[in-house]
Amino acid sequence: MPKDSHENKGLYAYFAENPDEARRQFFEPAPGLSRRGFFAGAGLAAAGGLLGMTIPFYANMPRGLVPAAFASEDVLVGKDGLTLLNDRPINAETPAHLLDDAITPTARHFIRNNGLPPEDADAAGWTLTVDGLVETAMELTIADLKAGFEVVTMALTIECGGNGRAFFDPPARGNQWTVGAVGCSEWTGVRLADVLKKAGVKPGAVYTAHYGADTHLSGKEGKLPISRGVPLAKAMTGNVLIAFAMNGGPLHRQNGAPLRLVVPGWPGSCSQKWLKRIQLRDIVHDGPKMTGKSYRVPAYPVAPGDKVPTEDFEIIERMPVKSLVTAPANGGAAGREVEVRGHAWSGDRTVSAVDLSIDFGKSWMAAELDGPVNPGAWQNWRRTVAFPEAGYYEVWARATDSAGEMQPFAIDWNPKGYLNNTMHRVALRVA
Amino acid sequence: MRTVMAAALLLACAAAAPAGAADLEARLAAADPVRGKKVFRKCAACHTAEKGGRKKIGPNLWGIVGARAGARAGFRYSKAMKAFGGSWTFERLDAYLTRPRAVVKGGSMSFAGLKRERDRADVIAFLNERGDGPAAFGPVTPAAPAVSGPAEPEDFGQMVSAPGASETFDACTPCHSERIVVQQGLTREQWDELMVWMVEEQEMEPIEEGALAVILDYLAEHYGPDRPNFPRR
Repeated sequence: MPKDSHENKGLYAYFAENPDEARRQFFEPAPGLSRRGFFAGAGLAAAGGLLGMTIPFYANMPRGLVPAAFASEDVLVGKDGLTLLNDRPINAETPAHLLDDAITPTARHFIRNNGLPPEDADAAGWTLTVDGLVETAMELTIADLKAGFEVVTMALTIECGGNGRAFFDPPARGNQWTVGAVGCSEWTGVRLADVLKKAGVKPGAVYTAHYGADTHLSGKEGKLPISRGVPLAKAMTGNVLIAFAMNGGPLHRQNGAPLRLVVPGWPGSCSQKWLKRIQLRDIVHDGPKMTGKSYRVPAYPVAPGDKVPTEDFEIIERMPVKSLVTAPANGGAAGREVEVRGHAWSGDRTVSAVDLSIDFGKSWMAAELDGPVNPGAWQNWRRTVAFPEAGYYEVWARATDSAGEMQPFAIDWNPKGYLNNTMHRVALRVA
Repeated sequence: MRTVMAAALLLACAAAAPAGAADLEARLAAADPVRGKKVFRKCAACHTAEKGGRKKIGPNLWGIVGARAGARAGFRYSKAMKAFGGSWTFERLDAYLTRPRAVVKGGSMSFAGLKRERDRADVIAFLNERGDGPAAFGPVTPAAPAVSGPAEPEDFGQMVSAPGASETFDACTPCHSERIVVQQGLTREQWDELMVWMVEEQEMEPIEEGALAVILDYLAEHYGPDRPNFPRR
């Protein structure tokens, strides 16, 4: 077995990257060995390569025994430090202090799945269909996208519509995201607008419909787990990308490899993963999770626990103004002076101010705030904060956006637990 | 067959068990079809096993042992299952039931799999009896005392072990993990609405009333709005 590219990677990472080759190398016996002898002989020595070291006593290892280092099945291969909320389908968020990077590394980008990712996500054979109300329907490979359109790289914020649901009372059903279903990675791809212009938008087109290759949990053939869309005007915005690279590398399988949409500032569900088809429609798209109460909120304020008729729900569009404290970590110890930093964003808008409070909101001080590196990117902020004496403090962060909207203290409760943009609070034990 | 063997071995690896294929014959000889009937409850949300039973999300399984794969009349199989082809040998069933989507890549069965060798052997023994000509694979009564140890506690993952857990686990986890169940805090009425939604929109088979009441009681008591068992509390 060659010891070149994968000798320092974990078994699961290796399998995730190239399962067929991994199987061949591991489980097809060398000539003269019985099929039952997997991991014996050559196979076990190879396992040493994947462990990053040799196995001195490998000759003693009983046939069929799997190295204990490989024993646990890690569903979060290629991710680092994420909190697993659900393993089928896989949903995982990133603790706030692990979102400290200005650009979210691939390993730290949250995962929100509605169905099961496609087994076959080979970029080489992947095609994207563009049809519906277009002059010329197109079927494009990823190579066609790269060759036929301007390739751009942008830092773009994706936040799950249900980020913050865990704090709803009464509870709202769904994955109980706390604060970490958000990220801002660098996405490389082509503008959706350019592709639609090439296809030719027909009069009467008002909405996109997105289709991915993921499959429904029930296993029912042809049933879609999720298919959402956006108004045509949003689709024609210059920062909506059909992305084939993430942070300069391949997309993570759980983040939609090999091709996905990135619709910054709108609920993450608009950013269809494993993207196979974009259709232009003359009605608001009615695919799964577009209708009923999915990714919708009541058209008017409601009291916590209120029942709201389904017809009074409206589709969520832009995500509200929000900020996140990524350093210091919640609950940690601190000295009398500490640099507090994080990110702030507001869908389709910019953030104009981030203010901090260490006295439970009585007084506020402005943080130093960077502009977005491009439209759709979150903005980084920081400020050194001094504490008057030892004791327990909370640092609160509050962003204000370009329309003058500010993060609230209390949750604007809604039945499905969306759009919680209340202030992020970080506890500190100051010595 | 080569691919299947490779897949079976891969599965043994993924499940952290000693290589399964090697001793499958011995396990089947010691398998208990009565216990297998209980294990089959995990499958019953999507499959019937009696003669002439209807198709659900999955095909009827009468006579499935030894039958051609992906060939039941009147059932629409995935391309992957049709391509899988061949017949359901014990080895293939054992591999498939360990982790279905790893063996039939792109197949429709989203069931996570039976990680315990004994569960697989017992359910295969149960299915083997549900056919017109069961294959013989040794005495039905366990000959080796090693297999019949103390009763294993049922494994409900993160769910609280209490009356109703078994019914709830078996109704919910064929399609999704119990981890999403334990995150919720809903009233009995809301759980009931959720079940209706599961049936109407998410392809769940309707649960008969008696079992549904047991499940709703369990969920309302342990996963109510005060979230007594919230995982991260």
